[in-house]
Amino acid sequence: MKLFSSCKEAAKAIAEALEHDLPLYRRFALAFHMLICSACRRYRKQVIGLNRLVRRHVREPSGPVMNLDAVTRQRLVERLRQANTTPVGGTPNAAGDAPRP
Amino acid sequence: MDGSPGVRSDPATWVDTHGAALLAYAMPRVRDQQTAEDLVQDTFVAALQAANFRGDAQERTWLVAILRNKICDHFRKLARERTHQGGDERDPVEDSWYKPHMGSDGWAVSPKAWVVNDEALLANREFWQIFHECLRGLPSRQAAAFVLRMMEDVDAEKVCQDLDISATNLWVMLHRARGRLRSCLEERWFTP
Repeated sequence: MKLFSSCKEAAKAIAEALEHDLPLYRRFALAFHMLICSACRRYRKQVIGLNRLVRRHVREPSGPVMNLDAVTRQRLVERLRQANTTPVGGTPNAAGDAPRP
Repeated sequence: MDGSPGVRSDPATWVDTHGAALLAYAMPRVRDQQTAEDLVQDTFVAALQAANFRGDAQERTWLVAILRNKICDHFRKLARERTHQGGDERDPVEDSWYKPHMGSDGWAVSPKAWVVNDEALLANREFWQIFHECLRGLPSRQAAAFVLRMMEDVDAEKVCQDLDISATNLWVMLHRARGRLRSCLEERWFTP
């Protein structure tokens, strides 16, 4: 990575820096690019923001857990009953083969 | 396995006790309701067949652990189905984000002005609906890399093994996945 790197290179460096520390000279080149390029500053802020948002989304369920709707509940119960009565050691694919309404 | 007393729970009770919570866990991680239901179903079946079923307060934690494995398996399988989308060769979509400008690759379209407001977005169902539609639009291996690494927080090394890719391929794939999600959300949510 040159000191005057392109936006394409900068975007890749942003991604790589999220996975592991960049070598010093690349870190420097990235910092320099960020200094002079507002588009890449915006890009970095957005992808890092989306990363953080997605992590929070899967870790902090928002709001109360909804009850199952009746149809979904019935479907799960039926399939589970079938799987439960299929002798184990017979056909091992009991889970996947239950018919859907 | 053999019908020991521990596995006699009534499926309806299980579904009522844990079904909603397990589905709520699976939904943000997979792409659609059908897949989420299948994975919850597989989780119940695996739990019923497990010999060490205890039925105590740890039951939910245990079920979630099984479900998490099922979700990871699902994405590994998905990633293997089509092997031609690696992170090594050029990606025409990635290339289209840039255009030559004074001898170097600048943005073809500069990122528009928007910021991620966690508090407003976390509780917004419509946003996550669109997010999942964008996620569905990713090539399957990119989606698998993104979900395993960014959502399930699986170790990078493990993801590389599962998808049979190098460490470099992994971050290139994550880069492309993120870039695609960013543009998709920009277009469909942030600055429609």
